[in-house]
Amino acid sequence: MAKDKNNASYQSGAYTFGAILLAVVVLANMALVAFLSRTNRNISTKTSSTMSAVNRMNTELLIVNGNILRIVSQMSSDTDAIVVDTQLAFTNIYNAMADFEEIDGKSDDVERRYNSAKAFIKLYEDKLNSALQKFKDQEAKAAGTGLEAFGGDYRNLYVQDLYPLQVTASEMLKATIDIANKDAAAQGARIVKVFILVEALMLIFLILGEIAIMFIAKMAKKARIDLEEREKSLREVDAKLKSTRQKASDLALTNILTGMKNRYALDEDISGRLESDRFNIAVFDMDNFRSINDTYGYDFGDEYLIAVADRLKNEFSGSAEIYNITGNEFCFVFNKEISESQAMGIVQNIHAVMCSPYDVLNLTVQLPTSGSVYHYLPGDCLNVNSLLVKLDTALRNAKLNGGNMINTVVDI
Amino acid sequence: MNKEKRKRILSAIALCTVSATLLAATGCGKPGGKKKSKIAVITKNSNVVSFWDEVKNGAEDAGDELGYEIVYTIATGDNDFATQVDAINKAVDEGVEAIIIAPNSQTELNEALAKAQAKDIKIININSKIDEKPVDEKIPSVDVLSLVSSSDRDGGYVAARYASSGVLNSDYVADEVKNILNALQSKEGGVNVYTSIENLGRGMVGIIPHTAATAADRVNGFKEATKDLVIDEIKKDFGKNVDESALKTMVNSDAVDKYFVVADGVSSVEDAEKATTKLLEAADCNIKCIFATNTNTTIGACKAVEALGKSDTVYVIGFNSDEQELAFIRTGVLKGTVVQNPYNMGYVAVRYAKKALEGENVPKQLDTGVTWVDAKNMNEEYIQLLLHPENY
Repeated sequence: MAKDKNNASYQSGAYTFGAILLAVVVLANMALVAFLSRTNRNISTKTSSTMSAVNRMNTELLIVNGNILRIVSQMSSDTDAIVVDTQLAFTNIYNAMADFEEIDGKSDDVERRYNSAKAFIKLYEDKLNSALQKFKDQEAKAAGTGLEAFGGDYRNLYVQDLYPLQVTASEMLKATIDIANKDAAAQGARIVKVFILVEALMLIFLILGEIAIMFIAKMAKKARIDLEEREKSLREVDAKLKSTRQKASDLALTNILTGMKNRYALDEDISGRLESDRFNIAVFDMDNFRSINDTYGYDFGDEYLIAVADRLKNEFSGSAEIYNITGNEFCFVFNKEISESQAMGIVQNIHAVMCSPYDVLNLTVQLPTSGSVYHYLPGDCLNVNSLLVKLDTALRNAKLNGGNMINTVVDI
Repeated sequence: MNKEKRKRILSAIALCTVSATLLAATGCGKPGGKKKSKIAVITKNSNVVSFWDEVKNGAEDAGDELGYEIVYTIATGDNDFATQVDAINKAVDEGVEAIIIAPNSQTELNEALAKAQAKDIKIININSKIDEKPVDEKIPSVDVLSLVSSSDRDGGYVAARYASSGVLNSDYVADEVKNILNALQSKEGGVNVYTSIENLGRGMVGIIPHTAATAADRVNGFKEATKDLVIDEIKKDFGKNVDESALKTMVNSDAVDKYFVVADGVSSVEDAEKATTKLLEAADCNIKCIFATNTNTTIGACKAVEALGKSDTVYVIGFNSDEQELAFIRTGVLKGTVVQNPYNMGYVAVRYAKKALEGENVPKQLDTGVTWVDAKNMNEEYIQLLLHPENY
């Protein structure tokens, strides 16, 4: 019983484990996919806002450069308007810078390039403002003096102070974008790596789990087989016990020497019939059997008895149940269909068989035999004991009267 | 029931395995152990370490950012093209994909570079220009993809422009300018004007050039700026009364060259110090200003001026931004220096090399610019970025 329960818990444990394993793997996968898509979205958002901010800065720088070129090449003399435009452009640049600086998680390389670009932009703005001031002064002076503005000076200012700063700033901005893109690609690759790693771990986890489940299932199966075997052997033991008990009880009801039923068997067999049945019963006993034992020994006597019993069994077991109730006393309970007269005939035959000579251990022995017979009628006796007393009394009377005769029990 | 469950688990395993292998297949292609490509950077002069170190730093930072290994070589002096030729040949043997060269000769490297180019190696020129198509037909031409440099002429020009008070030595010029003006106003022409401009400041500015080809351009730029400054100065005071064409003729004449005393080119700090001392002690000169054209000459000039105790009376203008030079600025010996952008030169050159290798077009020329640094602005953030790019 307890074993069965254990077995069941083994199996249900394996199922629970399997279910949990599956749930964990599925949930982990879902989480991983969610993480992956979110991170990818973040990366692309970040990259595009980085690019947009930096591109805005670069565009404005180019616009400023174009404006300055118009002054330097003297295509425009409206320096005031260009000053206003330049200020607007730098407002846009600073807005873009603020946007860029708000983006978090930038790599050190990106920050470094951007800071360098920013420093160049600031320097550019600085130089630009002083150049514009100079242009204005010169314009004012030219207007006052009637002299043409000095073009060579413009050129030097532009080439030496402005242009290199603008192109360098632009280069740094472009480098910032390139690095940001590279970072994004590297980050993407890293995420894929993490994904593969986690998947691989999960796979290992799953395989180990599956092996564990199979192992548990195998153990459960083995336990079941063990149990079945134990039950089988238990049944066998039980059967053996039963047969032993049978043997023991058989032994109790059997005369060990002759193998015939004994007096207890007789008691068991007919005590139930005393009230209701009529039957014929006889007991026989070899006269003076004691002399055989005294003369030849008990072993010889035993062999003699065995020989007699065998013969009785051979000849009469068809018509009567034979009991060896004491040492040399045999009791015959005739079958129901045997009539009183038939029984009397058989009794004569029994007497003849028992009186006949027997070869025992190379000796021929012969003893006279006495018997008593009783035509039992229902209710004659209260118990088997009193029945036997009646038969034994009749038998003793026969022996007292010289033996070798059959006496009939007569109820008075 | 049991069977069914096992089936489900097995199919889950199969699914995971398939997806994992798929991902592995797609994912592993990218980081796959491709060996780093190499870019050779060859520079000029191991005696001027600080400048070239910055070029190297810039190139290596770009290399790190872009995934290239930088193979760096520096020649032993301004005229040592032999080392550079060896470096080019070695780089070709090593299988570099691009060569970035700061040439010690305009033409001597052409043969080696042409060979490299024949092997599809990209050539980027920094600092000073290579003669791509030499007149001499025996020298092979080279197709340089980009020249990343700052103009030496403009560098010299900026030095003079920003140090105008020192170059013109205002007080002295003021008197002389009056004479010039008188000459101009008298319209007597030629001779008087000529004499006056000679008197403007004979031997006023000493120049200590270094030995490389870049020195001449810087000196010329410096002289040009000085002339423009003189014109400007005169115009500032006398406005429309000036006969401008006469003024220009006058200032651009050879006579004004006498305003400058140019020493022979020197390479080491010691030689520069000696040359400066000699100029300052020369009887026929009245040096009020010294312009040195590179790091070593600047340091030498400063040392000489300091040794002679003339840091208050002699205005020293330098070039580049070695730590020693910056120290002289702080102590007031060096009034200012022209700073190139060597870090950016190296950085941008590697970027351009990478772009060219990826099939992009790169600008034929990029001016990395020069910046005037003096005691007033040297602590500004953007100047610090130029001086110490490694800190940013």
